[in-house]
Amino acid sequence: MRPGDHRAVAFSDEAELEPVLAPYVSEGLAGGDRVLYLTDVTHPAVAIGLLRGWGVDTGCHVAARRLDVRRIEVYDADTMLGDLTEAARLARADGYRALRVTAEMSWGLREGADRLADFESRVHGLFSTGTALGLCQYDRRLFPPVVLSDLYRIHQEPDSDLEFDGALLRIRRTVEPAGIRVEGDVEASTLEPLTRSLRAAASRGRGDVHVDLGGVSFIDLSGLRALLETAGSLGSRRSLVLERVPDHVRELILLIGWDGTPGLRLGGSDRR
Amino acid sequence: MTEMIHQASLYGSDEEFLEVAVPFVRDGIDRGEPVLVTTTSANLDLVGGALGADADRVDYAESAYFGGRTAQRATAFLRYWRRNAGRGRVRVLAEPVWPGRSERDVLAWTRMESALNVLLAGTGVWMICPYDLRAVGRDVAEDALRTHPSVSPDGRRVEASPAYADPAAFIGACDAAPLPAPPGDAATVTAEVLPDVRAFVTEEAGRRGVTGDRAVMLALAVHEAARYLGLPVTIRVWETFGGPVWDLRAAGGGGVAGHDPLAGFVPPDAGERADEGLWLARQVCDHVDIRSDGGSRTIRLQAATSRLQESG
Repeated sequence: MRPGDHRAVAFSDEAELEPVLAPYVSEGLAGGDRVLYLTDVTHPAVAIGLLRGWGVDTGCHVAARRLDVRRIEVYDADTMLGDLTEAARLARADGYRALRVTAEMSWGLREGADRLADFESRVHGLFSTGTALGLCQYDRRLFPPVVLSDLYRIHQEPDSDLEFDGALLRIRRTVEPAGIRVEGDVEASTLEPLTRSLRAAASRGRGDVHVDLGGVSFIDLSGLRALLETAGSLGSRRSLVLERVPDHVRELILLIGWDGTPGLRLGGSDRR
Repeated sequence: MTEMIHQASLYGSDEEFLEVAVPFVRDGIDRGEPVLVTTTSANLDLVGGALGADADRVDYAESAYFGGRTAQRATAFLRYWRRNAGRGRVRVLAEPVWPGRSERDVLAWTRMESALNVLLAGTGVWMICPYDLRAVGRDVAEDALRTHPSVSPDGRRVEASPAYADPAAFIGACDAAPLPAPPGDAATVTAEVLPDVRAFVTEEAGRRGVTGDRAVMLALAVHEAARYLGLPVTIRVWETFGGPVWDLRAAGGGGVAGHDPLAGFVPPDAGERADEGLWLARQVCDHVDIRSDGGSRTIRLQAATSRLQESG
């Protein structure tokens, strides 16, 4: 997710919350955001324990004031919005990219669904300034389904382009140009989803398949082979076009001598 | 398929060098075969002068710049063969650089001469390796007769070398000395998964002045070596002049069965091979040693830090 995003996650237990919330928090901490975790019923220490269990180094981030886990104290939309706006301003002033908020929304059951909807609509305005992003946690066991679906509508659609979202690798479908965007590490353990996405991308259209490697931090020989094999399988009229190839990946392809492989084209480089 | 011919030619003067080199190269030109001459700049001049107008029908390289390390040299030969095999039997006059090399490098290059009998076995290449007796030590000259199945008296005939040693036995002898034991204070990790291998390398490399793209390539080299050995792998790293040493150790049972002392010399091709990742490691690293005993298998890598100065 990026600054400006406002999404919701509905869950029935921690296991369902983890795959959405854990990367949301750890990506923020790794990527230059300050993370604010607002709890309602959960004691902050319990929430911290949860994050720690998901592999987040809570101690060091809390000490560095990068991660703040606290209870919502005043359930008044104006106050909450004012506090959040101020926290976002402070985060930017302290050099962070954005304030990354996540909040338990169960308070809305006590305060009334209307006030909750009002808050959700107005907080949207804060996120749209690009200084913050938010992930609202809805416990399915607490909210009536009808109320939940109305509240859900205030948020953005979940990321429908996302084909694979793992700890090491993320793959998105791209429309223009047609293909996929790969982010993270490509290696033995992430080969299977990559191969699957490449195959799906090849079968979606009849033209070239574009693979955006701009976000690839590491690729090994088995990963390059997966790209090469897709290139070879496309037939003589189509190519696999590598876009935004990081310097180290380009160097590797040249070293192996795969730059001249039929069906494989290297597009522009991405000098970051 | 034509058998590979791999010959040594010991010479003591420019005339003796030319007596072998010129007929060999000329026959190739006359038959329209691809000919590669890779030798010292002095010998390139001699060959060029002797060929006269025909010199431009020969591919050439100065040995110092045609494969800086043994695996890069083997790769350069294989690539030349792959590119040119369609034009007939590939002839290579190949004289490595010997003077000034460390004992360790002389051993590595001698070992490679023996390895070429295996690595180029299926190529049908005809390779003559001249040895300048004015420049190389007696031990290097004697080993040439062990690492080449035959000698070339005139660039045409094939005379068996009675001293020729089976490559497996010769390479085994080259690898017989145990690797020096890691120092007790070497930084150590046992990695169960490959991301942990890379994280360890990146952190320890950064601490030792290896950063940027060099660090990425080093992480790749160690990652590929670990992938070849199989996990879990215990990695130790310590300093030496010429770059830190990365020692990877895995239990005997896991990963690939057995071990091949020539793993990683052949560049990746159309079909996937188990040792192709190790080829990458050999391209990135200055030294790669593979050992195995009953209990464990070891790959030891040494790659330069950012202290290595490069021209250009």
